[in-house]
Amino acid sequence: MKRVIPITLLSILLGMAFKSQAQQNLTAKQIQEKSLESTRVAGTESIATMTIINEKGQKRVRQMATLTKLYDQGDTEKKLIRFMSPSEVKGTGFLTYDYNTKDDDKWIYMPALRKTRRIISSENAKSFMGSEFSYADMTLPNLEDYNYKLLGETTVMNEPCYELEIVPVNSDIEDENGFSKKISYISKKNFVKRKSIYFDLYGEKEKVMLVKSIVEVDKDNHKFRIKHIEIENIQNGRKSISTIDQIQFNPAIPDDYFTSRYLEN
Amino acid sequence: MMIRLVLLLILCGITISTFSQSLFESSFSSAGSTDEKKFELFGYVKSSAFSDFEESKFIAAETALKLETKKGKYGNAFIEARYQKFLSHIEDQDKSDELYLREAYCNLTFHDFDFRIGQQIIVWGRADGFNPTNNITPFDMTVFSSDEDDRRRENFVFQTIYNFYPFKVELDWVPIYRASKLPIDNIQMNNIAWGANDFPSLETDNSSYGIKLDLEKPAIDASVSFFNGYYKMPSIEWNHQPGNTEVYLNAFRTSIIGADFSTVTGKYGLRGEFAYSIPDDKTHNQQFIPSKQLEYTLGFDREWGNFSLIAQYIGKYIIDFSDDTPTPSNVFQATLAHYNQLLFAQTDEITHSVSLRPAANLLHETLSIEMLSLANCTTEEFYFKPLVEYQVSDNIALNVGAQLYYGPDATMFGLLEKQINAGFAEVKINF
Repeated sequence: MKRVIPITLLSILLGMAFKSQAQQNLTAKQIQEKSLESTRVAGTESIATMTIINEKGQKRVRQMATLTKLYDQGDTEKKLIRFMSPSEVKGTGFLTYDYNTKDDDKWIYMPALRKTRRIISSENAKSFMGSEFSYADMTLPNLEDYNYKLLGETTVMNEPCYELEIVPVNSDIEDENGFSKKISYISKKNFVKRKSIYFDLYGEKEKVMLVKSIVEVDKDNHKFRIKHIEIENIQNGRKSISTIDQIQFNPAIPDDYFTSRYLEN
Repeated sequence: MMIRLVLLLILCGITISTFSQSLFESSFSSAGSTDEKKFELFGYVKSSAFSDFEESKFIAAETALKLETKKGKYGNAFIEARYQKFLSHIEDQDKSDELYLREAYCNLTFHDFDFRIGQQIIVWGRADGFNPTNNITPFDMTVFSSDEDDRRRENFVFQTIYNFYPFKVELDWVPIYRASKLPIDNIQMNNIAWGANDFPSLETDNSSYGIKLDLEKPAIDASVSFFNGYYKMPSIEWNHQPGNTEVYLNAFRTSIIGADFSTVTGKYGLRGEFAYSIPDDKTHNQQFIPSKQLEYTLGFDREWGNFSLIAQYIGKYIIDFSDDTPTPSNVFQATLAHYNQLLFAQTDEITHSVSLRPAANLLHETLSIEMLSLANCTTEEFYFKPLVEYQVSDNIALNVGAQLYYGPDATMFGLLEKQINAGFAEVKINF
């Protein structure tokens, strides 16, 4: 028994050392890949509130329900977002098939049109429902669309983080996503992104996104969702906050939820 | 009768709600929350003014009250009642107010089957705004509203949808005929009076039905459809008896085979819609039955940040087209035939039209500007609808715009130009 304890401790220390060494050897791209993986959850149901605050401090609040599920061994995430309030946007829904390696497929349902409409997926730079979040922020980026550079390590909200510079590989990707460069701060502990600074197409600092809290929704596989995120546009003084009010881990969501049937009903 | 229907639907909705859903399913409830509210009441109040430089065409206040029961495992119910108070209405000057049920239906869900039964609006077709396959729900061109949806005329439909992804089959049975409306009552038909409409009575033989097979794949959405029933646009008939000649609207049966698709290639969305119509000339001994026709719409859409454009080519080919020239002996019948040709847009063997819808979403999606336009290059008819919508707050919207039709005198848009051309302003408050 006396021998077992030191051996166990040694094993743990060695394991930690190897893990630490392995993490130290991660390339910027590998860190980003792990970051994307950390929020790739098998399936979730959630209710979220998005607050849009203009430069005068006036607020507009939107509540939405979201469903996500992974397909194709995690290469595809299907996502259904439906707005619950206010009445102006109530019933509006988005269905997205978010692919790792190709352009997404997207549909919108607007109650006034009374039909589901396929929309172009390349215009990711657009504002999402009038907020400072873009459509690009609502889906996971394609890893190969960017070049990565590890700038160093720092602390964000008491969390040790990698500091990455992320630059679109070409001007088309720049235009599609609306930024020329992004500095991301990724937690060394769980690889969840904690902060991003966006630079506009002219290279000027435009937005700062801060992840204030996260929730581990899949404890077995250590998968996370962002619980409270704020994005501030320092050029126009506007700010948007998204908080998850309720979330459930549910990898068994029926497939037909990700069809026009559920988008419309 | 209306009150009974409303009570029946409320009872139906409450009964079929079970409140045993998952987090997301609960959120799908129109009640808008996961709490135990059994229904939600919402709606809007709208004030509208339509006017040209000479006279006011339409001034009204409108309120809509919508009630939706919480969505349960087996379905729910929805009712929308509207009340309009008119200060001015050029299309119906005797009318001072109107109360009607816009929609009232029950949704039922059993496994892969969805049923919607009641007064409702059904929209078919993937093209933008000009949909030759959209034949279940008629339209009303005498409605003054900035919202294109308000021109759809609700009717009673039994709808069944069987879902088997990536397909779904939709069957719509329409027991009661409801006609589209055009502002043609003022047309002077050689000074002959208009008589009462002669529309099909409520009999099984007079019902209409439509069936549609939809395909939903990640790369493409498409459908094929078939409609058989009374065509939404009635024709103008005449009745001649000694000392009494009158014209009236009469419906005729038709079969329409349709197809549509939408897909995305690169930065472009592509959509198309096709319909082949075979009118049943045996329905009545009518003065004018439209010829068989082929309609085809092909278009693309593109976005540049906050700007978007939808452009479409809209074509029509009249099979067995005949251009009857009026003769002195049958000038009245020729006039009647001409107006019917206008109603069915069959004045030319082949027509070519282009529609454009440029739009901009500005000021963080609080200001939207768009200009829907249609140009019929064959008949030289044009339609423009500029629209500016400003969202003052989440529940208050201001709309200004215009509906402008232009065309030679002997065309449909030429008639509409005199009747309904107007600029408009609206205030709408949602609650």
